[in-house]
This record gives sequence, structure tokens and C-alpha cells, in this order.
Amino acid sequence: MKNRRNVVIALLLIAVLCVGIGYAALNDTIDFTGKISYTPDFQIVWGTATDLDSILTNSEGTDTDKFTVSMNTSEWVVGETKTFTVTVKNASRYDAENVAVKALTTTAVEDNYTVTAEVTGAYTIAVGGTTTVTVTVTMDSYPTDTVTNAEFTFQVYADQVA
Amino acid sequence: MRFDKKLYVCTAVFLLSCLLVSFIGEKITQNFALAILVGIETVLLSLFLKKRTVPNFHKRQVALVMAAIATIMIALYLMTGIKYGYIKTEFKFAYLTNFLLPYGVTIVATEILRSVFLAQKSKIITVVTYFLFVWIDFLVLCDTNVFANYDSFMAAVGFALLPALTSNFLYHYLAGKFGALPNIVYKLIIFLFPYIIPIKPDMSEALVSFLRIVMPVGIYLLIHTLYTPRTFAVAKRNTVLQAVFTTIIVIFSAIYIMLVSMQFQYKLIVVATESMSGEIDKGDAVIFEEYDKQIIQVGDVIVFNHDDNRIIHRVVDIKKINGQYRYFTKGDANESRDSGYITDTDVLGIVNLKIKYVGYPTLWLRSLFE
Repeated sequence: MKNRRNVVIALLLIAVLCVGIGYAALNDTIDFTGKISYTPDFQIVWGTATDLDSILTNSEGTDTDKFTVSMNTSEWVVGETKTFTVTVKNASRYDAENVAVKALTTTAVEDNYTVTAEVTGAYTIAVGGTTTVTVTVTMDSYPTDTVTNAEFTFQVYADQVA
Repeated sequence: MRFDKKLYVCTAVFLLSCLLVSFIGEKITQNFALAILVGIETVLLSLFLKKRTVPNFHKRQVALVMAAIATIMIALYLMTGIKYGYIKTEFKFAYLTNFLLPYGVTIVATEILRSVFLAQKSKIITVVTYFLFVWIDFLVLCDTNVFANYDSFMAAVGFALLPALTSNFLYHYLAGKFGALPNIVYKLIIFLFPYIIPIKPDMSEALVSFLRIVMPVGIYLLIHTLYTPRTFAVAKRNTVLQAVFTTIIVIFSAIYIMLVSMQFQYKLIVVATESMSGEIDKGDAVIFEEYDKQIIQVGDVIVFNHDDNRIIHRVVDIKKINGQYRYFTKGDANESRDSGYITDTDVLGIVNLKIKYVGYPTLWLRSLFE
């Protein structure tokens, strides 16, 4: 009886070992060929804003890919256009090309403002270099709420040169 | 040994019917065919074979114990979902007729048949019927083309074949000592609950396989200990040695299962690539600790996800931008760094230990399916 029990346990251990061998996880390989492109947000980042028309009450997002500005529009009139510039810098280890920006607007902003953001400097930035983005905001209609600070967010994109 | 012609003819008939059912491709038809064949054979062979009664004083008590064990096992299994999460399984009323009914008939009939065969006290018949019942369980549990790919092969072996081998060892033991009732009660609960309870824990296939293989042997040892008359003339030294040896075996097995199942804090991966050759070669295995915001430093070898691939590479640079860490990685044997970077959400763990060569059996097994 004891011998049979020992044989059963030994066979069980062998079965467990074999199942473990079968189920053991493997690692995989990475294949990367061709042009390396980064997700273009973090390495190409915003610098600082230059407030040409003295409209900005706050700005944040330096060294990130999203830049948010606040401006007091309570004294604006419909049709009024204001402008400011922001630098974009290449904080990565590779040259960047095809720099582009996009205004991330909410429905409320779209209802009342027209916002354009475009690269007015170079579209290619060498390592450590900068370019300039000009933002233009036009009030199309008076906001219906009583918020005096309008907030706008901009995202920068770029392709990395391999 | 007396040659019992009737017994061998009955066994041969049973064998042929099992083989016939194996060739039925469609699962539901196979279920019904198996239930009908086994049911008819149980009735006929029970009448045909001479019954020798097996004294089983504890038959009802053991049946109750088996019912309790089955219920507790199911409850513990479902409770593991608290840690691993639950998956909703599909429930259809058609399962009652397509699976529950034929499986129920098959279970009752096979266990009565088993107790009839074992009551004949023939060693050859005991062994032959053991493998026949393993085959029946395999047919019930496995419904895929076993050799279609590696995953279906491992599912057949880990989920069906090996559990059938250990389970039928338990069933043979119980049927030989206590008759059919304990097995019927246990199997009806264990086999049929997945078709009734619509959720199951999201455990790894490896861990479920280990449990399905080990549990029947554990139950056998429990019942054997409880219901076998003891002899007390045991040398004390042997008992201590046996206890130490058993403890070592249990600890080793638990660690092994924990590492391979990939569901606990420490996990094991076999290295199948040469990107880290020199430090970690193909065929080695690494043990890593699950990542839980530990500090990663340049030079650490980490395991991470990259486009649904599981990679083991070394961290060569770290940048922190806007509060987020970005890790740049490279295989030691690669010429250039990996494309892009990874973040904390991609990291699976930090490699703690390397074990040389132990991965080769796994790589060999997988190569058979490539």
C-alpha cells in the first residue's frame, strides 16, 4: 500500500512537471525595420508663450505636448481677434520634421470662438532647436455663461527623422 | 488466474464501443451515442456478469464526504474569482439536453459499469478498464482537434488527458472499495456545475490544469488515510524522514506551480530568443517579480509588453517627462536600441533570477508544432 502510494505521488509529480514544461510562457522578439517614428507628442514639446496682445491670464504645458492657455474675454467684442505665439522645441535625440499643431477645442469654445494655430517658423527642428507657432483667436459670439476665462488647448505633432 | 471468458468478452465489447464512439466527429451526437452505448452496456453487463459483493461498510458516508469535497472545491474555485476576476460563460437551455442529460447518463452508467468490472477482481480487467474509462473521460472533456496547434494540444493534455488519468485512479480506488455511489455523487457535481453556473474565475489555463491534475490524488490520499485500517508498528525514524521528504516535495511543487502559472507575484518565462545572449541565453528561464511601481534603474533587465509581445530587454536610458517615466530598452546582443520607449503601464516585471538551460524542454515541445 505504501509503495503504491509513493508510486502515485511520483507519477503525479512527473505529470505536474510535464504540464509545467508545456505551459511555460515564452518571450517574444521585437522586429523593427525602416523609419523609426516616435509617438510624436512627448519629445517635441511646447516652450513658453509670448503674449503679443497681453491677453493671457495663465498658460501651462511647458515641456509637454499639450499647451493650455487661459484668457479673459469679458471685454472682447464680437469679431475681435487676438494673437499670441508659443515656441515648440525638440527635446529628443533625433531631428524632427513635419511639425504640426492642432487646436483641441470643446463644443463651447467652437460655438463662440474661431481658433487657429499654425507653425509660422520652420517645419523641421534639429535636436535642441525650436520653431514658432502662432495662435489666433477670434470671438464669433458672446459666451452665454458668465465665465470670464476662456481656455484653449493645443497639441503639437512631429515625425522623427530616422 | 482463472480465465473468465464472459468477462473478457464483455470487456472487449466495451472497448469496441468506446472506439466506435471516438470516430463520431460531431460533439453533441457523440455525447448521445456515448450515453446510449454505455447505458445499454451497463444494463446488459450487470445482468450478464456474475456479481461478487464488495463489503463497503462506509459506502454512504464516503458518498457524503465526496459530495462535501466536490461542493467545497467548487466554492473555493469560484472564490478565486475575487482575486482573478470572473468571466461570464454562455448559458443556453439547449445545454440541458445537449450536455447535462447525456453526461449525466454517461456518468451514472460508467460508474456502475466500473464497479461491476472491479468486483470481478481481475488485475488485467482492472488495468484495461482503467484506460477505457480514461478514454471516455477524454472524449467527454476534449472537443478539439488535438494536434491542430500547440494550444489545442496543451488543452487536450493539461485539461483532459492528465486530469482523466489522475481522476480515474481515484474513481477506480473508490469503486473498488466503496462501490459506485461515491463516484456518481462526486462526478455529477464536478462535471455538471460548469453547465449550470454561468460564471467562472479568470484563472490561467496552467493553474486550472495543475489543480485538475493534483486534486484527485489529494482526495485519494485523504480518503485512503481516513478509511484504511491503520497499522501502528511504524518506525519513528521513517516517519520523520517521510515527513521531511513530503514537506520538501510539497514546497517544491507549490513553488513550481506558482512560477509557471504566471498568476502570482513571482513568475517564470522561458527565453526563446537570442536578443540577450551573453547574459541570458536562449533556453534559459528567468524569474521576475510582478511590477508594482518598484524603482527601475538603468541596467535593470525588465519584462515588458510591446505590441502584444512579451520582451525581456535591458533598460539603457530613462527619461521623466511631465511626471511620467519613459524607459528606453535594448537587447544586449542587439546592435541598436529598441524602437520608441515604454512606460510604467507596459512593464510586467523586473528580472530577479536566471536559471540556465531549464527552458530547453519547453522550446523542444513547442518546436514540434512549428
